[in-house]
Amino acid sequence: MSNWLTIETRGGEPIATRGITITPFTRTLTVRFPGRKGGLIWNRPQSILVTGASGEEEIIPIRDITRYVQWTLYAAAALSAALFWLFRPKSMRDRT
Amino acid sequence: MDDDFPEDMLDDDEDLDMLDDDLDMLTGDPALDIVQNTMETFFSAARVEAVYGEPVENGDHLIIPTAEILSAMGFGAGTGFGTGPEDEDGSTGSGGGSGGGGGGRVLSRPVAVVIASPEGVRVEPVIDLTKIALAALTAGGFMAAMVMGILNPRKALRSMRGS
Repeated sequence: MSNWLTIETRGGEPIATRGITITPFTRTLTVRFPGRKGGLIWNRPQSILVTGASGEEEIIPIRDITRYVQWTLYAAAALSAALFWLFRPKSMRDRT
Repeated sequence: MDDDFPEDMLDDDEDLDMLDDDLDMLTGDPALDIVQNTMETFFSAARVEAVYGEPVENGDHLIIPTAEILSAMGFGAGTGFGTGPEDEDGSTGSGGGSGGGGGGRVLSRPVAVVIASPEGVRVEPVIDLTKIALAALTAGGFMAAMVMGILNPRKALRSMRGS
């Protein structure tokens, strides 16, 4: 990975409660501006690792529903417009 | 320096040297503290603890809030020195100065809540209806404009030109 752009998964301190341990993980995108005069960090939750009392492990992903719905709407709009343009009647094709 | 400063963000020597160079220019300048504090705030956004909040106990339930963090910043610094023209007596004056400035923004948005209860651990999403409504309006407007442009390109062109 280049030095100005890094994408990494980071694990946090485990949280123990009632015989289970929850370990959080994040996904971090770091962009360093040229000359190291600043940058951008995009940090978001990725998943949690749940470890039971008997040692069984389960990974539960953390989904950003708001973002999924946003991008689905944008993609649907773009796809609909593209399909409408591709399959427009011949009379409209002659005009455009 | 703050104990929370994530050293691993600047773990390579090159980064540290270049940052030191930038900060050395401002040594003795009151702007140094501002730049350092801003950098600490910026890099603290990369910590896992910035995304996962403090666990909250509520009866049998343990609640851990999670959020998405977007942090951006930039700064610059410069110095300059010069000498003046030679006086009649042969002496020259000299002077210099330094300055710096920068800015940044940290945005955060709740994403989900982790709930640990006697029944197990589950993740409940946090849905931002305002953002979804705005996305729907944007998508609907885009589709309407595209359809209008395809059905009647001349009229769409006129409305874009405002005539």
